Amino acid sequence: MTVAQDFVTIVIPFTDDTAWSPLRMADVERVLYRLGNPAEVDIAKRLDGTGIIHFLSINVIAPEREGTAPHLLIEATVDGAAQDAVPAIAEALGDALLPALRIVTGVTDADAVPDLLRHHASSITSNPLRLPRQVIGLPFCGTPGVSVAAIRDNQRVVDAARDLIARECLRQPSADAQALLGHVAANLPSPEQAIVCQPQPELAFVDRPDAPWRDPALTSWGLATFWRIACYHRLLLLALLGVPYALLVALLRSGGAGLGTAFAAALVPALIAAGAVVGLFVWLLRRDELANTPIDTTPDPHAIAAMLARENEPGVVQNHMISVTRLRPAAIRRLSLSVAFKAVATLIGTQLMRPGFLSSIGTIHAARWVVLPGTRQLVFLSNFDGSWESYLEDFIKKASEGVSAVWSNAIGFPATRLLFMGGAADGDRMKRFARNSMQPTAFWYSAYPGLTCGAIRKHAMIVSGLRHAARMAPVPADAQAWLDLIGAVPRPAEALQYAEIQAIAFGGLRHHPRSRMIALDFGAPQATDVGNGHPYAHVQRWLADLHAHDLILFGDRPVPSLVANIAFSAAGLARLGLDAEVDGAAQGFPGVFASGMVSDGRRRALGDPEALQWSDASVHAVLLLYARPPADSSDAGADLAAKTAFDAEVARAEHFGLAVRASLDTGLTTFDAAKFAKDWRNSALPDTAAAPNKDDGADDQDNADGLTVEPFGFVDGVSQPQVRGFPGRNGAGDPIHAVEPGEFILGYTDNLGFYPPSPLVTRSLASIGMAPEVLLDAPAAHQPTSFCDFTGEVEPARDFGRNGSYLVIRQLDQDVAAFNQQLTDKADALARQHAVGNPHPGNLHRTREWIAAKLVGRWRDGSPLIEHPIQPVLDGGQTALASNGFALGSSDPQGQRCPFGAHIRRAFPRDSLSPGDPLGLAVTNRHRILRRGRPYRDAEGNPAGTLFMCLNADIERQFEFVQQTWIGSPTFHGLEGERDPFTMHVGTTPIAPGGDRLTIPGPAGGCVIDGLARHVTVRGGGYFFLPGRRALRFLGGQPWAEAQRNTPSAAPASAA
Amino acid sequence: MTTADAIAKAVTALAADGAPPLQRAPELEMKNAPSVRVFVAAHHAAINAILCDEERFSLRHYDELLAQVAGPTRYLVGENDDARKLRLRLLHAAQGHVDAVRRPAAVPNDPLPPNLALGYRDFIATIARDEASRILKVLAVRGQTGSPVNFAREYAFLLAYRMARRVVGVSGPDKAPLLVWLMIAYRNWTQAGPKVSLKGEAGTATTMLALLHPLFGHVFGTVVKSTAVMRAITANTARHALASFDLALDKPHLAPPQSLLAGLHAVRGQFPEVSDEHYRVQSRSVLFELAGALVLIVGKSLGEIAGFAVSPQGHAAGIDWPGLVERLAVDDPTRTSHDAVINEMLRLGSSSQLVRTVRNDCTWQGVALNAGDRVLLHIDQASHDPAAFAQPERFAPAPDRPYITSGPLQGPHVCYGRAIAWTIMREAIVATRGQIDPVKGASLSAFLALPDNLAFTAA
Repeated sequence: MTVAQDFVTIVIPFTDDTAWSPLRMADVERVLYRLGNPAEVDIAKRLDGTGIIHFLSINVIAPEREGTAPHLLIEATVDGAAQDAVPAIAEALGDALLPALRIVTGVTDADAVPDLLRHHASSITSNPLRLPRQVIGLPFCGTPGVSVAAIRDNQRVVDAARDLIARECLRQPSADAQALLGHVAANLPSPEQAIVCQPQPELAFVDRPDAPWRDPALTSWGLATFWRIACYHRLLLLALLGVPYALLVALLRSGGAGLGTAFAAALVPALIAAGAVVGLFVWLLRRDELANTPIDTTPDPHAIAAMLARENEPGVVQNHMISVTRLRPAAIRRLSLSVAFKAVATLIGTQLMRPGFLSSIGTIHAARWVVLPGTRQLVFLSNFDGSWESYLEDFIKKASEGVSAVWSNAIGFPATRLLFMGGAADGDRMKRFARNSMQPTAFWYSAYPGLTCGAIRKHAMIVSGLRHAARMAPVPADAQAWLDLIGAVPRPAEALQYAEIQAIAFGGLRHHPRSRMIALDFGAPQATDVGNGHPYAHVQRWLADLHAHDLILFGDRPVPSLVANIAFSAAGLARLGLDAEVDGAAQGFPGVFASGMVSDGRRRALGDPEALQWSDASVHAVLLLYARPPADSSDAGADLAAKTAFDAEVARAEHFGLAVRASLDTGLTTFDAAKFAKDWRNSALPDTAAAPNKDDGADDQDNADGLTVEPFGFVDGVSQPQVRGFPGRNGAGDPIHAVEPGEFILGYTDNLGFYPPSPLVTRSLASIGMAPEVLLDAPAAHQPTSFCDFTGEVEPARDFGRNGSYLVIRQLDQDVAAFNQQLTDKADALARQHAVGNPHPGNLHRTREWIAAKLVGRWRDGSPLIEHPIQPVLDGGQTALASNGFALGSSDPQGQRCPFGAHIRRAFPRDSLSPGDPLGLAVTNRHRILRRGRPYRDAEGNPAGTLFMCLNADIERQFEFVQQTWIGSPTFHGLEGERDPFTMHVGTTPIAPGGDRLTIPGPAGGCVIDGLARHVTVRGGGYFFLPGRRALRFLGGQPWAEAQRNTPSAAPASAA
Repeated sequence: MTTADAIAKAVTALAADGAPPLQRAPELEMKNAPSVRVFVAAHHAAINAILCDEERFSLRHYDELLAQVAGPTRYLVGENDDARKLRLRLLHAAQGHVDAVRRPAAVPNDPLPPNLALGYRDFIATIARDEASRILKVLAVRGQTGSPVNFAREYAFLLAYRMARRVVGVSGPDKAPLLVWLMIAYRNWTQAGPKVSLKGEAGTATTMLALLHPLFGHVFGTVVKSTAVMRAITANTARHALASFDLALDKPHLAPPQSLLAGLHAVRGQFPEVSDEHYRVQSRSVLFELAGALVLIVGKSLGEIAGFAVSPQGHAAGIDWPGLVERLAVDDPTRTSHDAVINEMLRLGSSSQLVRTVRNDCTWQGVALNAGDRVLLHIDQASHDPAAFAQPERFAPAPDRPYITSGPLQGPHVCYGRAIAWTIMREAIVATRGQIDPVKGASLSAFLALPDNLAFTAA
């Protein structure tokens, strides 16, 4: 049923070539108008009956000039060869068309119509010279290979499938994509089943693995692209280069030169000759471009009204347009027009564009450019989806070069440069030109007026999926993509699968201020579990139980009062069956994760102490629990409720045989903006107390929503990467903070456009009751795209890492009292001096706060030193949230506001390392981390430190790089012997005899604060993996599957 | 003595005090038909009485003349026999079908018959405006070159043909017969000014006009009997013209769906008692007559109106071309004022005559008449009769004036297509506003008694 589409072009000149031909044109147009646009029901039925006509339009083209004839132009897009379709068109339309043909040619007999149409039918060639029965032009098909019959059949199948799915979802709400696909494949009614069973060649537009348009090397216009084009046009190149070369060789040979000499000597002249030809072409073209005067006139409103009266028919999602222009008189335009046609045809022919797409425009069903024979009239006809306005905007934004290349050969087109540049890029004038050249389409027929190109492709893919249902059954992502097609559109590769990603990736759960981290040890394999094949089945049962109680939160639903996220260490994953992937598999986990945070190499890089209280070496999983206080509860009541809930989860873990190795109660503390402001104001010296403070006075404002404080008293979590695709404002572009999701979530492209390496499972785990081949998706590169290919071979490797992330946890003990005392001591010394850049000499409190701000790069309320170097904003932290888009390098290249060694400049230097250079920003953005840490408390409930947590896709490139190269480097940014004075911890990195120091540059030389002690100590931590939903289900093994079978309604629907 | 001189002599005699209403004109009688006497009537009252007295004055003269050259084809201008009554019924039925097809805006309780109904006139007006604007567009292009426009042939007759083509539904022949070529060649040889071409749509219009012209001359210009040469020419051109109608009747689906031809085809089922052959003959007669009337009479009248409006006579009467255009451009939903202006212009600027045959021996208003005698009705003279029109040479249109330029004021032969024609002419004249204007000093020239050239230019 799949056939090639062809283009019928019938151009019939009027017998009346006098000045009075417009009268007969009007007569013909009246006849055509009666046939309809879209076609009248009876006419449409007749054309439907042919079963091969996709689109057909009939128009009258006015004479090029007085004394020449008008033309009747019949154009159709058909299945099969065009010449075979002409009789069908004649049979279907003969009677209806006869009154028009009578006026055009005088024919009165319907029997003569087929011969008449056949006689005037032409094929389309893009060559500058045409043969008889050819017209110069360029056809374009938007749904290649899909026949009219297939389009209609596919729609029937899709309708039936939708009906089956709707009923099955009512019956079985928890049915997942794989189940629904199987249900539809097995239960289609017989007629639709027969359609599905018909053999079909592959769909041209789907993303086959070897599709050229997916090859970045080709689509980026490198050498590979040009080589491919050269191969495509080898005969043409041979003619252009080879023939002159051969002639020169022959000439030299005839002059007595030897064969070798002739070959060598002819090369350069041949190239020069070819270059001269090209140069001549360019010169002539450019000369004519400069001679062109763009016609920039407002389209006639009456003409526009006439066109609009025949566009946007209610119930029809397509439109048709016809434009008639006249080629410029210069002879070179015949050649340049063919060059333009060839250029576009080459992009289509070499499949550098997806078949059916013009550039990235996928809304064109069928279009063609043709030059009417014997005239210089260039006619453009197109059948497209949506409105004319959107269609032209697509051209302007996505394919202006191609449009310019063709249309600039016409009189009055907006000015172009070298055929391709300019022109249509001037969108408004291009549209005026287009409207001025258009006329209402007299008659237009569409075989499927209610279907867009997208719907046609989607239907074809759905049927293809059903045809290959057996192949797709064990591939979750493919089945999901198929189901997505039924519902709306397939998930684009870059679209995040929120439902598959644990919720902590999307935010810090600030509405759940009480939290606890539980570090768990799986314990020894349990002998009683050997029977089911998995030595840690007790862990799997625990996981299944967590799932059954719907405790693990993913990013797809409202957050309940008690939620958990879970991550596993390398040792934990090894115990759960991924031992090979952790230890040595070619596509397994990276070494940094496998070796863990406390291995010698990592410890040295991070400057960590010799021993930790707990680490990933002994902890197999961490359970992160978060609780929202009950409504109207007191702090004490909320604490108690949270503790009860957390303790219950501890008990649950212990019930399944797991042991708690560490437990930290964490929680958020709101920044006390009012107190901070009050202290600042009260600290004013007598002689400055009355001085107006333009930023002051906001001290009674509420704390900005979401600002929490870390134990040293600074607002925390202000500056985070803005991840494209994350919910909320994170989806917006941000020149400083925008990063790609692949920087944090495996399975998506990173800032460089590549998929980060992800741990794969390439072996069977059936012996321990685990089924990666069914439960895990294919690697990212093999994920179904928006144009899914359901026919290819199934990739055997399964991606465990997809939708997961590496979680770094570090328990950082903070000596708050010592930190504050150090600040006081340093301020006491500095406040006495007047020439060190301190703007608050003599004011101990403010000097103290100024030093604290210099350590961090922000004031305690989060307002950045870059923008507020003298004093904090005191607006409740709102500035901190709203004003985080500053650049460091270009705003403060000498560090006079925010010192080079300040914490925020080290943690994320922005453009500091190469001021003003976007590349520099791109480099630093390769080292971003998503921070999700919280302060933790001691046994008495006092802030004791920070449980630092961050997500990243590459621990070495991101967390470790930041820690080692920026935070902990003594030579960061050209400094000497300085480390992050705020967060650098006590460990193996040497401290200068006098202590660490901070250089505070200033206009008068600034100052150096030395003798700084470290007040942060690493107590524990490790590298963990935060799995996606499918990976977690996979780890749960048979117990999870059994739990799901037993409680089907509890299983969350696996919707993207 | 020429025919015109003979008529003029009779008219002069009729003008004498105490003269009878009819004046015999022996100069118009034929030697080969000695029993047929010819009388002339010129007074409005007499002519009106004769036109309305079909008991005494028959229209069979026209039937006989047509039978000589066009076989069974008949006009509505003929004896009101069963065939004519059928033709009228056919026309009404076809027009009813057209009304249904075009789905007009409802004109509630319109008391007028279909051919005079305002809704149908609006339909005709729309077509006329469309055609006029298209022709004027072409002429505007011509005007840019500075070349003059021949109002008579390139506007009046062309528009009339285009209207006939759309309203009646019959196209002219694709190729002009030899006789037409000769006529046009003769015209181009003898007439000054731009040549007339037989190519393209304008050529088809000219061909149609040339084919119908002899027949109309034969039928409406003959008082007793035409010459053998005239009959031969007429038979030849009529045959070619009728061939176009035969072709159209053979291929009714080629006609516009809102044309009378399509209507006649569609309503065939309403006349089961009529044989196919008879239906076809009568249908062809209807279409042929209406097409001829539109092509020839409307074109001729339009040309003559324009010719009068640009002439010194028009100026003397108190009307000129801009004044005429402005008068017709005034909005009048009832169209009565428009009709009056057209009638007045025809009264002043057009010329026509009608002929009746005395049905039986009788004495009419004191004049003894024999069966078979012809009465020539001099419409021009009657239209200037002071007894009917006060200040007859002045332009003074009024709906209540007794215009007889299109035939009887009452009775079965009241002109069926008058409203159509008047509507077309009004729209045609108004459409020229701001488009084309008469060339200063231009005058209407004629060829074979038809308007031939009147120079206009782009406005």
